[in-house]
Amino acid sequence: MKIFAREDSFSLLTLLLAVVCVSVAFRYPADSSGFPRAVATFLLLLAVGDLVRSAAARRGFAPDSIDTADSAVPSDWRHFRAALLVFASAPAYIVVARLFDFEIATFVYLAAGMFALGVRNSLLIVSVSVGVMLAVKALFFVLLDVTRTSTLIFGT
Amino acid sequence: MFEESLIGLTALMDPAMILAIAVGVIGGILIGILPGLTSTLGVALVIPITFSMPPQVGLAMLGGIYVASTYSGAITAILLNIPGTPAAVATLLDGYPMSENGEPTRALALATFGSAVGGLISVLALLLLGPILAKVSLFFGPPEYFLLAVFGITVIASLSAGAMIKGLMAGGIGLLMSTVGYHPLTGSMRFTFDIPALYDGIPLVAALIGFYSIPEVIDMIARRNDSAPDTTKSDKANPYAYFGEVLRQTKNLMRSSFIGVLVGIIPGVGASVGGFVAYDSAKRSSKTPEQFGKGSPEGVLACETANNAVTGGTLIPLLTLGIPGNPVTAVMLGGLMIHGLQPGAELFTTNADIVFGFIFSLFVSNLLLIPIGLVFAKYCVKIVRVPKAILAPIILLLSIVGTYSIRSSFDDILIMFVIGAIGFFCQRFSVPRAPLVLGLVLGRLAESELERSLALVGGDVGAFGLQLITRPISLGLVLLSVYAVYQGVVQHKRHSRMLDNQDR
Repeated sequence: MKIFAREDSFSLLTLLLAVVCVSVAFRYPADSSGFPRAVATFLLLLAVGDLVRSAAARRGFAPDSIDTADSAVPSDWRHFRAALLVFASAPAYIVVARLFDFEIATFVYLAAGMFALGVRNSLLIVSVSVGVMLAVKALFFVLLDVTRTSTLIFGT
Repeated sequence: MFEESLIGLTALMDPAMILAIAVGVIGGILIGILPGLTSTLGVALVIPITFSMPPQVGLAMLGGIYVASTYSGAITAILLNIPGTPAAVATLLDGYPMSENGEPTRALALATFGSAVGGLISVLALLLLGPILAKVSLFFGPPEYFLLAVFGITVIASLSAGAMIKGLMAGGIGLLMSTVGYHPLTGSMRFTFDIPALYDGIPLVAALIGFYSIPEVIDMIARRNDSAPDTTKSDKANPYAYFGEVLRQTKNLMRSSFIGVLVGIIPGVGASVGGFVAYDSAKRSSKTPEQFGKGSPEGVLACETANNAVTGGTLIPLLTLGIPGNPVTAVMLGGLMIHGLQPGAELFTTNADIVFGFIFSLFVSNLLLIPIGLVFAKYCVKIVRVPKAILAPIILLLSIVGTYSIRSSFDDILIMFVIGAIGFFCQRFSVPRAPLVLGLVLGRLAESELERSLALVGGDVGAFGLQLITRPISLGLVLLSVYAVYQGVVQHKRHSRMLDNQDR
């Protein structure tokens, strides 16, 4: 039952995406949206078809037609917590980088990241953070001359 | 031609040439390992440095960077499930599972030897068949390019064996993502929602970094306290011990090299597609297709051989016709011109010493890949032993800075994370990610060539359809695409039946 729920969730999400894309694509001029219209419609039909097929299979009409690859991946709450941490860290890095600069943001990001993940050896945290920060600075900003944006506190 | 080739060969006697090639190969490997840095960026950055060098030496360095960076994206693909460059996307399908199965050295050795062999064969093709093969690509019009993209997309069917509907959905989502940005002919904006960073479409490298590195980092963080046995102990320490295994797969090597060269010659397709097509082909002709996706050495060898064979292939139309087949060769065209060289027939006569010197330097670059690449790979293997609580933030940081470095844009970082979220959901729902990437890579080519083809027949769909079956190359590509879909369906059914039998 759990497998069916997982299959249906993905098809439902795809259906939702397809509906949004179809409604948006058909608002663009026809000569500029033929391809996205066709693909979005195909996606919509595919998602509907899959949901119908899944419903039929649940009633026992088509038991052999369910996609089988790796359907039983354990749904771990810890993965969602980890995802939350990762996605929350992106704006944090950008804010620190725009306020101060890349070096400070890099050091703080690495140190805070390692600490949040359970590393408690201060010497290790500092040495890894400083080492990676210097390597990133040397490679990206010195050797490759990547353009920095001006920061709110330190300017350019 | 023989005499001109000999002149080129003598250029290799210059120690400065060898030094330039070695520096190029080392630099290229470093570029490929770091997510976000592509072969194009590497070549573009080095062109100003080569300006003060003699043309042969400068071009040799550029060639070394091109060849090595195409190869070294496989190192992170195999060890971390993150393709260092787009060319290595197909490699992670089996490279990372091999690493997980305790065979990272074997996977890296196969990738290195395969890359070197593929590269050498492609340079041989460049040397011998260049002018002849380049003529064939002149017969390619918009319908053929469109069908070429369609053929690439049909590989989705095979890549999703066992999860075909989910794979098709992922491919469809990838195609939709490729339509973000301006329309290739009219210039109208689609799905940009007034966000300037999306006007040029979803940046491919940022998308690839997000799609593969973010889910991997999340998984690392979630499983950081899991105690996994160190399976790498069963791996042979000496990567050269796997050379015999490579030689035993002669058919795979030859087929993948041929595919790579062919894909390289056709402009606009790229190394990542070469890798996917060769992977698909190896799977179809393998005695153990069920091993593909679970750590098949044949799969790793096929895509790495092919994606490096693309390098020589792309140089064929560049040097003979001045047509750059991909962004790297477009940048290299600039490099040639900076040195006062004009691609075309004259290049092979008036500047024979330079062009043949360059071609022979590519031979040396591919040969140097083996010792230099394996030394780097040997130390990179140790990465898998670093605690995940330390490795995860470093990878995330490199992904962020790597993404920023492409266009110096903070918006790209946000795009990378949004795509990362899609990748995370794909991973949680067991949706194969390769079809989505293929859709994203080929969608723009498919749309632009479709629109051009339709424009040529005044928008008449019937006339366009007729073109597809009346032009010989088009018809061949249509038949190939139909066969690829048929094979994919057969594989899917076989895979499903096999799992049913296992359940019983």
